[in-house]
Amino acid sequence: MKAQLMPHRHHTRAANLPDNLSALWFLLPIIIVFGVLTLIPLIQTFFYSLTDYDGYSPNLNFIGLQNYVTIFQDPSLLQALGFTLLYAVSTTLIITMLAIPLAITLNSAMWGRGFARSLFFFLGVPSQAIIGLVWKFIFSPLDTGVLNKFLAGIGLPSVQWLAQDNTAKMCVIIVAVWMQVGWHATLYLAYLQIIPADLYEQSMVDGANGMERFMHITLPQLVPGIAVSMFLLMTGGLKIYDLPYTLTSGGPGTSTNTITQAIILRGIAQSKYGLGSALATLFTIACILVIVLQMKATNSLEKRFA
Amino acid sequence: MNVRSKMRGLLALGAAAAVVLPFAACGSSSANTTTISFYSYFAKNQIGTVVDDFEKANPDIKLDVSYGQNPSQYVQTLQTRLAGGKPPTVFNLTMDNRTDVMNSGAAMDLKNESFTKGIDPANFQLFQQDGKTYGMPVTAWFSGMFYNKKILAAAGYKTLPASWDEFIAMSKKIDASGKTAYLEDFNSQPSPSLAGLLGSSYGKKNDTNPDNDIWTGKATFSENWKEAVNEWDQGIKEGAIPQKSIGVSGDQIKNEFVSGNLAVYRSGPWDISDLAQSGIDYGVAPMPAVKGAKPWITGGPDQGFAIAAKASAKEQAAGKKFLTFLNSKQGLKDFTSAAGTVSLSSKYSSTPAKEIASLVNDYLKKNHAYWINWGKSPTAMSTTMIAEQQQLVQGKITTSQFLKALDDKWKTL
Repeated sequence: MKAQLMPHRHHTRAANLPDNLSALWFLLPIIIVFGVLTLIPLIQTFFYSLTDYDGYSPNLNFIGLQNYVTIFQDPSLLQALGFTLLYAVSTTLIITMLAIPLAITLNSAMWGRGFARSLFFFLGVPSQAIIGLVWKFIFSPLDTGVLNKFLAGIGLPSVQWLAQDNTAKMCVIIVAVWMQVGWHATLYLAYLQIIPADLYEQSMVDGANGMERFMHITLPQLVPGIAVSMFLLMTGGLKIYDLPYTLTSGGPGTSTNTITQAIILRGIAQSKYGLGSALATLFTIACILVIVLQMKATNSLEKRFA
Repeated sequence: MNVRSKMRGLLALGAAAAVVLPFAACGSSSANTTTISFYSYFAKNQIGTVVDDFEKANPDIKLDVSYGQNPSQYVQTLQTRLAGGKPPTVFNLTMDNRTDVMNSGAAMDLKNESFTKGIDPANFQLFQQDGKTYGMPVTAWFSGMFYNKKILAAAGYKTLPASWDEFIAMSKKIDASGKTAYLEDFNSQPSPSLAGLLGSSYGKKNDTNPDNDIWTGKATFSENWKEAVNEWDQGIKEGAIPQKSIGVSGDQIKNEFVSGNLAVYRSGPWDISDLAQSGIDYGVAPMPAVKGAKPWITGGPDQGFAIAAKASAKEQAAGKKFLTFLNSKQGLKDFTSAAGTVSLSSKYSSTPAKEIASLVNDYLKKNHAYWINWGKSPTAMSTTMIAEQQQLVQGKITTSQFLKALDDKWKTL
């Protein structure tokens, strides 16, 4: 049996070779782009992380792991890591919890459905930097701020939105949810539309109510969509830069500083390329770990509902 | 060769020319004209006329100018160009990058150049290191307190109080009337009101070289800044520096002033045309001073002009001609009139706008102007100061912790 299988394997590989080669030709451009724009810069970043390169002088010295030691001793960098994780996890969970019911609503037959779908989708179209600047006026701690004027109109006192640590963090997360929820609802909408209608019809014949249909048909069928959406939210959340930069500039103090802001500030603005590179290297490793964990969790969920 | 192949040949030649010509234009010189690059910190509407008039006066030199979009972008782009070994022939040393550029050796020494004559040697201090001079400032910037006359009159004041204690008392009266007394942008820079207090504190001690003892390690922030920071903190505790200043941009503050909701804010020549258009009745005063001191204004020498050390001899010669024009009567007239700044050179005496003339004549010309020009790692120190002053305003740290944080950061750099 074994002797019979071996030639067959060789035969299969040999037969697949032309297919593999043509696939390689199709993949070659993206492999080159990935190598030039991602792999080589990553290797360079790791190289610089072991030096005292300042970005100005071509002279640099190897200093071993000193930059990595500095990172773990700097409380402001650890705070930036803390807020980045808070932002990534909270926006991922809140948006997922809001986008699914929103998608189900937008999927149901109602007047103005097309307009509502476009409206929610377009919330996330402008750049994060522009949205941050606009919301800076809405969340202004001044009495003339848009939200404070509204509060005054209903007899409530002004709130110092961006001037206090906790409210500033909350504002950044609220704006992020506001601008992304429509886009992710649109993604779920696409997944909702491929759920076979006969599943619902059959369950109705069996007497299932709305909640039972959601829990036993819609949610399991949406698991691949949830995996894609949460993956995009988590990776986007970890590398967030524009929104907190324009909305709060990382303040008050360093309460809304993110890791990417710290990399740019330390590496470029403060002429510590070595330290910035070490931070970027650690951040890349942390992102890979978080994403691997998330993918494992979603894979097991998919198997559970398969 | 038929017509079709001739056409093909011509097309190929045209395409090749289209590819090659732009590269040819990158060359630094032709037989009669030398082209040098100038990366300007100043916007086109501030220095564009200087460039045009220079090219008219020097038809053999062409300036290939690019303008920075904002201070941090300027620093980053210049850094990338210097690190990549492609420096602009002429560029600016800013308050944020001067120490890094001087350390890197990217700028040539201008110490014995004749075009620096006419500018007081004290103005070069910020751009000097190890006995060499790397930048030439030709103008000075300044700012003071702009106040709404109507709101102050309603609170019983004809002009802005000269002392910080009186300023706090005035703020309480104005805040109680439902208007906002004072707002300032300390989210992107050190606090201007604190800088004013520091200037007056140094003035009281007759210190002619403020902060130099800190930069040289003879003193600490905890020692030299204590008086001013304590008085500033008193202003925080009594509401003159409101917490709502955190999270508000400079533009938002100006809008509040223009719309008549804000009594006082810190500004300079750059806002005069906007204020004139708004029709608001305003006055201008120096920054309030610490106890027993005379008020100072905020300001100092502007960004310096530098020439790349790596540029060729021909490019450096053209760069020197440009700097010579900048420090000439015509160059200074063009620059100060467009940028609203003040000439530092004896070759031209600029006339400030009448609204702010007192700040120039009574303070800037008497060297009663101060700003924090960090002796090393300016961006790192600014970032630390901004974060710490926001925490002080929030009441999360004490003045001793604020000063210690600056001392600790300084030691690590």
